Amino acid sequence: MLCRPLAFLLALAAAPPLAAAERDVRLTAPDGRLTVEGELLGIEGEFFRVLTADGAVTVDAGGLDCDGPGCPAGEEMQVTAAIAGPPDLLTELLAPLMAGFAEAQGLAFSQTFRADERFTWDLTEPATGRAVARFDLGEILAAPDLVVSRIADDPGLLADIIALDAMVAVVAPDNPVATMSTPTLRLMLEGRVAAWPTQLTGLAETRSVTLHLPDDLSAFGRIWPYRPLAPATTATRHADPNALADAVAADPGALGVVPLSRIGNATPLVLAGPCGRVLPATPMLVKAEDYPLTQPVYIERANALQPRLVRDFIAYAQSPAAQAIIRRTGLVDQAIGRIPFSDQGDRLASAILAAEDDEAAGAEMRRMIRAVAAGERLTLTFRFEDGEAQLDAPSRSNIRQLADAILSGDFKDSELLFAGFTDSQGPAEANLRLSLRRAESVADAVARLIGDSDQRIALDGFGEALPMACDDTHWGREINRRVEVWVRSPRGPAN
Amino acid sequence: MFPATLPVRRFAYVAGVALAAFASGHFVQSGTGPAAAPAVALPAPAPVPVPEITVVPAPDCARTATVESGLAGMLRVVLHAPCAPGAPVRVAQGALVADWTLDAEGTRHLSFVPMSTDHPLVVTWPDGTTSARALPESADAATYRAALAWDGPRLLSLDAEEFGAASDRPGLIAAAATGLVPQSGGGFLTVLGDGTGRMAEVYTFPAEAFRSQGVVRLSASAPITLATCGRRAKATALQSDPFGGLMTSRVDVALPDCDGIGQTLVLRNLFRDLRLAAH
Repeated sequence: MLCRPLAFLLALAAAPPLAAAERDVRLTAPDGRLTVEGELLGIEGEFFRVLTADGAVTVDAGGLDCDGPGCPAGEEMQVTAAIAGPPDLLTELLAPLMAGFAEAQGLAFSQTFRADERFTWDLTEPATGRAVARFDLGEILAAPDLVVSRIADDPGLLADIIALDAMVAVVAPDNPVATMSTPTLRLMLEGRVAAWPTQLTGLAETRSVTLHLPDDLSAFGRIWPYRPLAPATTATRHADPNALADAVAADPGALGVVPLSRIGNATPLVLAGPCGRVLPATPMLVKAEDYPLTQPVYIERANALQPRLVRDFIAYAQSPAAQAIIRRTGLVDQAIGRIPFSDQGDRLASAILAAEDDEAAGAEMRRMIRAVAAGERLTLTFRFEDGEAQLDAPSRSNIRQLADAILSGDFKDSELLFAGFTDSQGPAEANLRLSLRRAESVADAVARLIGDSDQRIALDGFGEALPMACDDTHWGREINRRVEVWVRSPRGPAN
Repeated sequence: MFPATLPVRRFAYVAGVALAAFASGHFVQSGTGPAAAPAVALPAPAPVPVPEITVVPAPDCARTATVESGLAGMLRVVLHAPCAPGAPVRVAQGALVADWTLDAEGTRHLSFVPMSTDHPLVVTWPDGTTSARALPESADAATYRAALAWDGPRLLSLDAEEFGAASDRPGLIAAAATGLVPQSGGGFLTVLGDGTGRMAEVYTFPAEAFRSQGVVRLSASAPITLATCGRRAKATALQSDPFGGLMTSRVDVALPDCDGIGQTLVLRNLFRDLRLAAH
């Protein structure tokens, strides 16, 4: 990456005139300070490969003037890119985003279907009709420039998260089962339960279980990290999540697994840990990553060298303007949400019951409730590696998002409380200290990014006071080790 | 085994049936003689300029176009051009265009379904002149619509599968099959055009039916027959977008060759799902 601009600058420093040839070009910046000239070796989108006196260089010619016989006609300047991805993501997510991007750029957007899973998008200048860009889209393309995916499985690609989704277990609308514990879910997905247990359905008759599963179940790795799921061989596998949801919705005995954005007419089950604590897959809990099966939607670049229009589109997809579009697709957007205290009833109730016989835990919880009762919890949650104060990977990117929001003045009249929590492993007193250390480490990381600021910040650690998920599972403890950020009025209760 | 999920191919509400109340609300353009100035100027709908009203060629040949709101946001349109019996007329609203033929008296009663509220209805008369009519006040912006429009023989048709096959709302299909706008909380299909030129098929999901919760999946399908095998299916797909605009897609699909007779080509990704959340 670094060597290209360098070579480009070297070429600029000394570019002696070459003999005029048919392929000669001279690229000049509008302010005249940059010039590169030589034989044009090739064009890819807006990248020109030019053989200068100092060797071949690749130049992003977007915004540069081109003079000389080798300069391409307008047609050739058109950006072309191939985007591969599952049809549901291309149609439901990327098409509205591209339409929004085109509108923001003042371009006309049109799409042409060549076959069900093969289509093109064209961006044109409305006044002149000039073709600005063409995108080829399909589920499987030979050499895609961009890949939209629910799994970032190729470490060679540069991946950006553009939306969040979550895997959910679903049943038919007329199946009375609404909640299922993760151990039962595992037994059923592995085909070890032939009929719906009547104590779950409350029905007199038994219904046999039919399984509909996606090709990829890796999202369950978080729930069962040590013993991967071995799905029943009798399960019907579906490549198309819409078809999966339709099959489940039509079959009273069906159990399926499908992305939250694609549940269609099926009904999601609420997952419960072995201790009974429930985590429904609501957009807020998915965004806060409190739901264990959150699954990002990535856009991956095959090559760091992408035309400016493509880079701008990826930036647009992550911009505030795009978040409203994403919300309407059924996917979960990444804008920072606020969860009012009054919506925290479930977890407070279960925590109060759990602390019934433990005076110290009860006191800690009352202190916590006094600290946040008048506030709202941000959906940005910071989570930690096992027993450490070290943030996990998604949380590190949350640091930047929170810093951006603070710098934009989103909380300028409020106080941000960083509230640390631990799982219940180890002595309570050590956990209290660890939870405060976690709150400090998050606040420090944010402070390093924002520099001098008037933002009012408070820190507190509540140890294991308010577990969110069951501490008797690995994934539950992972969810419980966290720093929550609460927005409260600066005249709120002092700590 | 459980019942297979089959898309419901709904009854098509064929526009152009005689309407009882055709005499009401008569119109706007009444010529008095060849030298007469264009009559009353209509107030133009705000964003789109209304083309000039045409000068009528002869007093007897005064042409009229009336537009009234009908059920479920549909428009009842009466066209009358006494000097052009049997001639073709075109009705367009934004990107949605359909052709009809006037009867022996030069009259045509038709139902039209507007895809948006920000374009007037434009009638193109046999001589190429146009009349524009603002949509009636009651044109319903909240109603969800999707359409497939084509020119010439029909190769593709629009299918809507509402709320999955497990849905227990049997009244829906029966109500649609009577040819009335269903009142049972579902959508319906309307065919625009009488087969003489451009045609369209519109799926309407009335706003008042939004109390339902779930997903309506829309697709376009082409049965492969001796008449259609190996041909190119060209059409335009229109869909209300979540922001009140209209999303347009061109379809240019090669149908399977004649070895595939009996199969059906289904385009499932052409339309986005209609997602309804209960209020």
